Order: sequence, then structure tokens, then C-alpha cells
Amino acid sequence: MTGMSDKGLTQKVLIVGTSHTGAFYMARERIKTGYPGLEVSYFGMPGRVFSAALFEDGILRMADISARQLPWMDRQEIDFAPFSLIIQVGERFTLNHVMRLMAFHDVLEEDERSGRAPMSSAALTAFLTGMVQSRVDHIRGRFGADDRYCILPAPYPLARSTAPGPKHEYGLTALSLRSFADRWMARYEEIISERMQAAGLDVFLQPHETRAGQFMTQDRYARPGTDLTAPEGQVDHRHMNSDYGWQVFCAIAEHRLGLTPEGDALSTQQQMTG
Amino acid sequence: MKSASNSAPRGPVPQHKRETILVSPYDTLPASAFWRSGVAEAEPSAVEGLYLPKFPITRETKIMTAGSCFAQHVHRALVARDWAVIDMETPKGPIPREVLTRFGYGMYSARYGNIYTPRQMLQLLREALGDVTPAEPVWSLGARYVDAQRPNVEPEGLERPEHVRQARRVHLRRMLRAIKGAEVFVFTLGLTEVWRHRDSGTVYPTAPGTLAGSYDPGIYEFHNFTLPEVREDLEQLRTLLVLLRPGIRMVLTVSPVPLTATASGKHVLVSTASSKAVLRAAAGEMADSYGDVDYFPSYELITNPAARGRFYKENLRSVTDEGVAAAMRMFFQAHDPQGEAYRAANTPLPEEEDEDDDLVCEEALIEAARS
Repeated sequence: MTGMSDKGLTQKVLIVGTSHTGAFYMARERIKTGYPGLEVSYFGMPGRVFSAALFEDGILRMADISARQLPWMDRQEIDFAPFSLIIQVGERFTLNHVMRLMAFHDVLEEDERSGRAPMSSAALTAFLTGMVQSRVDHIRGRFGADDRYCILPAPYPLARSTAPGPKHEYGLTALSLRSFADRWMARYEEIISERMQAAGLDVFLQPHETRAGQFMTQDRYARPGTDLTAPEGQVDHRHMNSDYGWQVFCAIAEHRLGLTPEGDALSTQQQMTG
Repeated sequence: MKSASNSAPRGPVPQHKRETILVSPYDTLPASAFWRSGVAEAEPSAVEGLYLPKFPITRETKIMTAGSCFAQHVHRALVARDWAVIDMETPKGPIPREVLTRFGYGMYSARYGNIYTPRQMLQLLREALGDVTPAEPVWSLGARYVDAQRPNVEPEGLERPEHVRQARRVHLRRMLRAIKGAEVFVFTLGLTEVWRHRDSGTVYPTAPGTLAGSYDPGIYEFHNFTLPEVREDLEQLRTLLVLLRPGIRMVLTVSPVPLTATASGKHVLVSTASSKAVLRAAAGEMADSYGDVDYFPSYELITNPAARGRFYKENLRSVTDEGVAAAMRMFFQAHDPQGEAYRAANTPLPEEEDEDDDLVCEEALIEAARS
């Protein structure tokens, strides 16, 4: 392990956000073992509950106390003050709209033609920027700009979600068929980085080693029992397993704290990254 | 001989007097027929009886909008009120309005930009039907290219002329679909002055060389449409619209926005008055002639002397938000007096469409708890 030589000095890290915090919570034992110098807290809520939660004077509290109390959520509010790193999980940066915008238009300056309505590169870039900026403004307006924040977008849906069946990702599937998709999704991510940086916010995009191509997540990060053979209500292509939580946490820890995991956990992480 | 306006009494005659003797045909007229009671003493943002619709328009009526700048306000107000205003080209999604507007989206029922004259609208329809091909359809903008018929919609221009043509082909198809789906066509008349192609008569929404293209007096000429020309264009426009969409009705308005500049050689104030008078007269004649054409007096509301210019911004040209709101209130009160109550009861909660499925969210968190 590097960067944590002073024994007894722990850094407090908060992982807060939508249901995507679950992947990190499921990896909590590995994180604890791999990063003994970190004291990690988890505060997760379903997306709509998180969106409605109030943030005042550095404290995030659920707006509706009757909202579902999850078993591992032992409190209804969290004070950001003690934490030196706050990882906000689950922002989608209007991903679905972005994918549909790209999938269902022909970009005039691109060679591919599908017969759909044409749109200029300039307009598409402006629309992507406008949509991303509105989310950046929302984050900044809600939480302010704070060096301790690291915004982690929600993972891209699993590659398997393009197969027909429950929870089929229609926009993602349509986009994956467009020849320019990778290029424009890369542009979208550049815009996210640019706009967040301009707003004084740190964003950590999904690590490439977890992806299947530019904008899907590898199926090995699926939670067990959520594939197309599961009862329809349990099929889920968006929420990842503990391996994903571990993998991404390691990447953020290195990015923000200069830390790599210790011991057995290290080898696990190395195996994951190949 | 005295005119009626000079000899008319200055206001409605009181009830007790009316019962006894009638002194003139004006005695029985309502307050709205008299300048003092109808205008001078009326609140200019809520003048009673100014708009008496000829036919109903409801929130379910499929409305197509087009016209000069002021028509954008009409379109937006209808959209904001969640009326069935047609929009064939604007992409879905939480794209900020100002960004959409910069590229000509979300302004009208199709992405045609401002259409200032009835001739331009007529020409657009004929082009979409394949009856005419506009001359000089692509103008250069530096090293890039724009659609001469809507030079505003791509502010940076496009890379190749072929891109302009491709985009236009699809636009024309969408525009025709908008008409074929419309029940009411709301059209705001803006100008009589145009620049046109000398040989073909093709008209353009802007002068060559202002936003794009270059001015060659051998190719382009100035023209100021006369009342008979505007009237004839509106006749043909109506005929074509009805042909494309039987049963369609028209609501005509005149933009209260003065001319930015005139090329007529006259003072811009004279040209503005002349232009608006021609448009107003033509719209009025159309409304008087046809049961399926109505006139919406937003022009009168905004230019009302009783407002003492308060519906204009400091440049004395752009209409203030208050003015737009007053005009649209007049429209909605006439067609949808219970609209506010309906809106309050039916406004959906803000939806985060991009949110992960709630049920699955819960499942993911519960599973985390079990781990």
C-alpha cells in the first residue's frame, strides 16, 4: 500500500448517492481489508429518494422519513463534514437522452445514413453540452463546489442489455448499431469532463477496464440472479456487483488518494484489471 | 358630410335614456365600440371584447405555427400550456430552450425559421410539393454553407452544400407532415419588404449578405409587396392548405414588431406603418371573407396607445414579456377560460426520465444489505 504510512491516521471516505452505492457496499469487506487506512461510510438511497433528499449546512437528509429504510441504512441523514473524500455515485448526465439523440439522428458530417432526421455536428455538440451543463449546474447548485467531492457517473448498462427481453436497453441497442457511436460517446464524456472541470467539480468516469466497448459494462459485473432467466421483476442490467464496486473503488482511491490496495485484495484487484 | 366617428357620441347612452328615446344608431352599442370606454379607460393588458373567436380552439386542437419573430411567442405559450401544438423536428430530451432556439428547433411546428411574408410561406409549401425549386438555395458563410431559406438555423453553417440539401429534403417532408396533421394553422404576418431573385422571383427571409451569402444587384432585387399581392398570396395559401389538409382553419395575426430597417427609401417609421397596414388589411379581408379564417388581434393589443408603449422593450421594437403574456392571456381566455384550473390539477410531477427503475433500485440496495 502506498500513501498511508502513518499508522493510526485514518481518512474518512463517504460513498453516497443512488442505488449504485450498493455495488460498493457489497464490496465493503474487501475495501476494509484492502485499505486499512480508510474508514469508509456508505449512504445510499433509491434514485428518486436521493433526488428528493435535502442538503443543508453540509447535511444530506431524506426528505421523506417514511421512504423505504434500507436494512443497511442505519440513519436518515449524513453529515459531510468529517469526510475528506466524498464519492457521489449514480449521476447519469442524461445518458438515456444522449443515447437516443445520437441513435435516432443522422449526423450530417458523418458518412452513415439511416434515413432518420439529420442533425449537424454543431447542433449535436451543443445539445450534448446543454444537457450535461444542466446536470452540472444541478449538482453544483445542490451540493456546491467542494474539493472533497468526486462525482462518479452511474455505470453504463451491461452489454447483455442489448438482447431482447425484459429491461432491454432500446436506446443503447440502437446506438450500438451506429458506426459513429464510439466517437460521439467519447465526445460526450469529454464534454462531461470539460463542464465539470469548469464548474470546479471532479468527475471520475467509468474505468475503461470495466467496460465492454465505449459505453457498455462487461457482463461479468452483473449481479447474480438478474439475467434474462430470472423472473421479470428481478432482471437488472444497470446495477453492478461487488467486483465492480471493488474495481472502481480501487481506481478512485488511486486517482484521488494515490492509494493501492494491500495484501490479498491487491492480487484480486490486479486479476480484475488483467 | 360628417363622418360617423366625428358625429358619434362619446360613450354608451345610460339605460334610462335608451328606454325613452334613441338619438343615434350608436346608442345601443356596447362599451367596446367606443374609444373612451373601450380603450382610453380600459386596462390595456385586459381589453374586453378585443378578441371574439370565430371558431373554438381547444387544448386538443392540433395547431401548426409559423410566421415572423412574434409567432415564436405564440408557439412557446401553446407548448408551455401543454396544448396540442405540432412540433415535427425538435429532438426530445432536457435540452435547454436557448440551445434549441440557437439551432432553430422548438420555435415553430417545423424547423423553417422565421417566415416573414405570405409569399415565403406559399413558396415553402410549393417547394415541399415539388412545384417550385428556389433559386440560389445554398448561400456561403465564409468557408461553410447555409440554407438560404433559413440561414439562422445553423449559425456556424455546414461543411458542404450537400449537407444543406440533405437537411432541407428531410425538413420539407416534416413540414408537409405537420400541415397534414394540423387542424388550425396559426400564421403571423411580419413584413411586406423582401429580397428576391430577379429571374425566378424566389424570395428569401433575409437580404443576401446580411447573415450569409453575398449581395449581387444583378441577381437579387428588393421588392415591397402591395396589398393586392399579399391578399392574393394569402388566398393561394389558404387554397393550398385546404387542399393538403381539408377542414384546416387559419388564424392570422400581424406581428407588432416594427421593421429593423427598410430598403424602401422611405423613413423606417413610414415603412413600418405602411407594411403593417398592408398586412393588417389583408388579414382582415381574409377573415371577413372566409368562415375558416380568423384574425387574432395581438397587434392591436400590443400597439394600443393606452399602453403608452409599455409593451415594448427599451429598443421600442421587441415586445416585453408582459405584452406577450397579455396577448396570450387574451387567446387563452377566449378559448380556454378554465385553463389555469385545469393546468393546476393536471400538471404532472416533475419526472426524472433518466432515473434508474425504482423497483430495481430498491432491489439492488436490498441485495447489498444481504451481502
